[in-house]
Amino acid sequence: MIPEDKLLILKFKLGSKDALGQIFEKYKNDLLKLAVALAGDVHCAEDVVQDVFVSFVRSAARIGLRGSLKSYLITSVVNRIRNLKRDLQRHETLSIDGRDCIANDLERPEQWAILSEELKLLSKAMAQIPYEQREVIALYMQGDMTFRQIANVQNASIKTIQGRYRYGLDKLRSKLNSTVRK
Amino acid sequence: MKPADNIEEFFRNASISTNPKADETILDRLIMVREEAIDTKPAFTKPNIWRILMNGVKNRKVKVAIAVIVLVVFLGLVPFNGTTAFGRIADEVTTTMARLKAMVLGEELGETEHVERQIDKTVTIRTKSSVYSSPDISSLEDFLSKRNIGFVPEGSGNAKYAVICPDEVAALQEFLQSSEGFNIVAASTVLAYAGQEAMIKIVDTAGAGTGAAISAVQDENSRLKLDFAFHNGQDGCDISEIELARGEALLISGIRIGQNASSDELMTVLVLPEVTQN
Repeated sequence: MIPEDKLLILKFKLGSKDALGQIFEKYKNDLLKLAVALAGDVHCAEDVVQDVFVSFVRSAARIGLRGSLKSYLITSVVNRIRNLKRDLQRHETLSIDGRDCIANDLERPEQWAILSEELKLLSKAMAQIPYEQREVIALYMQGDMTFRQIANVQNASIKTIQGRYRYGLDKLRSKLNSTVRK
Repeated sequence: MKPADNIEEFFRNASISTNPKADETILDRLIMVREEAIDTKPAFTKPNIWRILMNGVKNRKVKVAIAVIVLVVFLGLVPFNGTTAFGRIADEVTTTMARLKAMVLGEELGETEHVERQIDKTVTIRTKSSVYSSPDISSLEDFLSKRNIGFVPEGSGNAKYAVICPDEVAALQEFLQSSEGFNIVAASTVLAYAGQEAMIKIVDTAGAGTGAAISAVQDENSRLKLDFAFHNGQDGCDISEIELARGEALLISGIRIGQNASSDELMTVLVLPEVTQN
């Protein structure tokens, strides 16, 4: 864990509200962007990231000082979105075109995340590629994970992960191209 | 460049920001969740610096070193004598652990602070003193005393004044901006209340007449009023009254001290109302 994060975690475990605020400020944007890329829906993403932080706060006592804080939070986001996807499939509420969450453009007054036009475009395109490929791309590009780490997360071989990344990128490219042409 | 031309760069540049009000709401909620989590847990499971330090360290030699350091700190802070009762030792240990915790958090533990036996109740380990109702500006007073800037008891009322020479103002401003806990406000009409975050009100009276100075301080409820008097009838400053809470500070720049001071000798005056007990 990077030294700054170690100190923040220590202060947080000792009850420092400032440390909690700093952790929140430091990681909220990255986690939101990852969640938007994975979920394809800003409202889902907001709920997931909030739940991740709440869970983090509640389990402060169990967090060790040796692991990476960013990896811990990213893994939490990934797990929650996977659970969400599983629940959606179980209740058969798939949206049109087989996407798990409809990429939602509607903005609410109390909306937390403010997406740039590029990110809106990206999340719509990401929502149209298979979830495993989406996850590899998002974890590699936004989560700054290596293929080896992603292989551990997806419980697959590195070659499989590399393949998912390559094919996912091709599909993403064609989706973005077709969006731009429109 | 089309987005598909360089997907990786497009991905990295696709930005996100957040609504600041929503940030605040969510963070408040997280703090509440944290406090609920601490309050509902039994004492032995609550955050304990000793356990955190020991469990976070694998190397046996490092653990021993930490234990030695804590022992040295303990021995350094607790004066032993042969008649020390067990209860006093327990209190001293509690105080020492609280000091250690405060050191880790980078906070100062006031001497008048009442440290509870359960030191993991973190709300008591703050410099917000239980004796005074106003915020703590002792760090500002320390800063001034280290630079040999003395206070002049002046005027009628509970305040002390320090005259800051022009070549010391920059250092003072840097200190105020870099110190945590000071909320610098550059308006003359802001009211403040005891217990608010430490506030430094900055008033620039450049252009005021010669000999502008604070003439009187009155105590009114929990606020103090400072009345300005401008000599020589020239009043370039429209501030006649400022209210401060106890313990707040007022920084007034552009003041000529004394009627005969030259126009180049514009001083900055720091006013610290006396902090009194409730």
